[in-house]
Amino acid sequence: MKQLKQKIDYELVAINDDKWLWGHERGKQKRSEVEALLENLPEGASLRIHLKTVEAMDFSFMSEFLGTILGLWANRYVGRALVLMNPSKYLVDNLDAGLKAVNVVALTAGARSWQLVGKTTATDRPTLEVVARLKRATAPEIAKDLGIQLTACNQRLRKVSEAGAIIRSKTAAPTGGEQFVYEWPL
Amino acid sequence: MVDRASGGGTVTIDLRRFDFIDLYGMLGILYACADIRDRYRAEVQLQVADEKACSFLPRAGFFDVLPSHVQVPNAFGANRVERMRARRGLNDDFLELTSIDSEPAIFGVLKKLFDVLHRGLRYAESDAKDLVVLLSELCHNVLDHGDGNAQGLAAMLLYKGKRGKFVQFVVGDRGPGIRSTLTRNPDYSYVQTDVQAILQSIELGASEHRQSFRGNGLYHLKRLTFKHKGSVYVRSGAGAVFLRSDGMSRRFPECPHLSGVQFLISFPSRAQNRRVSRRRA
Repeated sequence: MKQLKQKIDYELVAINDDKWLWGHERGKQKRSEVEALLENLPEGASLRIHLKTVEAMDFSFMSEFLGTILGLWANRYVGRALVLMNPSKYLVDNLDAGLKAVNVVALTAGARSWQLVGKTTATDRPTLEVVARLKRATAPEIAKDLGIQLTACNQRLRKVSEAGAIIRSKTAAPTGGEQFVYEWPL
Repeated sequence: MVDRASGGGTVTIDLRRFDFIDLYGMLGILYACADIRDRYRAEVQLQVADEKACSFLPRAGFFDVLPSHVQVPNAFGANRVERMRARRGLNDDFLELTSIDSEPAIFGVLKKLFDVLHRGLRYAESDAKDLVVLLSELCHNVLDHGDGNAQGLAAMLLYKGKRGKFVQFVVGDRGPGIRSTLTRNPDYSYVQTDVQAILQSIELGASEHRQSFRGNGLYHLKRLTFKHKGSVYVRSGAGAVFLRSDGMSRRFPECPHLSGVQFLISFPSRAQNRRVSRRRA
């Protein structure tokens, strides 16, 4: 594990370098490790969980590990982001089915592309595409780019930031007061 | 089949009219023997056909997992059982009845299964992983819901049926069963029968726990079974349910009571080329 500015990396490997991750108990073990990192993750930072060496995980592990963390994201960790790095094609498909069943979404990223998996809606990806392109932007800027009303844009941004897919932070607005800024975590 | 049961005596189970007992049948016999012990405090005597007719019993490791209070008089010589035991683990498309009462034991079963499917039967890696994930859910349920005394067993077999080759998994335990487990959650207090409990348990989010992220294992079991055009037969308590990917389903509400949960899952084999050398496997 190494800390690079606002990004913390966590390599997900099972006990004894096992490449398969099974069961609720192992899910709990791994979750407690990640929760310890998240407790110290400052606002504006992202946690990158590396899955390159993971061949498969069952749904019990997935729901105990990721379902619980992502399900509580809006209450505990909002203002931060979580990215699942370099999952295999098989793992992406499995994550999509498993996270859909527990009503959460997660951002996955490979070397050249990213994907949102789990309980997504049709508006999630276009919204994230704009944030990914702008890297850092306010809601009015994103709404303008998408060509939608600010209210609708705020709803979309709130959903994906509370899911942990993008970083939301408060900054001073040019007109005085505060505004949210949305940041791409990769 | 059962001759007599006098408290503390011996119950005889006569299986001599059966020439062949499959893995799922073996699970049923093993757990029935244990139930008899618990209910009547009786010893059990199994009478089976001669060893030529029932040679699959020692080959499947049946005698290795037989409870100590069960006797099988004069049916199989010790030498034959020992010979079969020596062949354990050597067959590329067969996993003998194996205890799954610990994490390492489950890991061993899953690893063997992946080897059988992917290397032995040449399943695509993603298909083999799907089936191993599916079996992992069942095996871990034994640990999670077994209350520490589940006596879980798993086995796998490739067999040739009338409609081609099939891969068959069996997983069973002697835990509290689906209805007892599910109704620990007050949300499911309306569940009255074992069939109702089985059908409810394969729905999304049905669990003894109230957390929203629990209770998806059997839902994914059904999803993956159907994805691979298979069928699943679940028996728990006095109920059983059969589900097939083409939509056919059957309910069996009045089975003889058997402790725990037993699964039988079958898939059409996707083996493309069975001639895979052991060295390559």
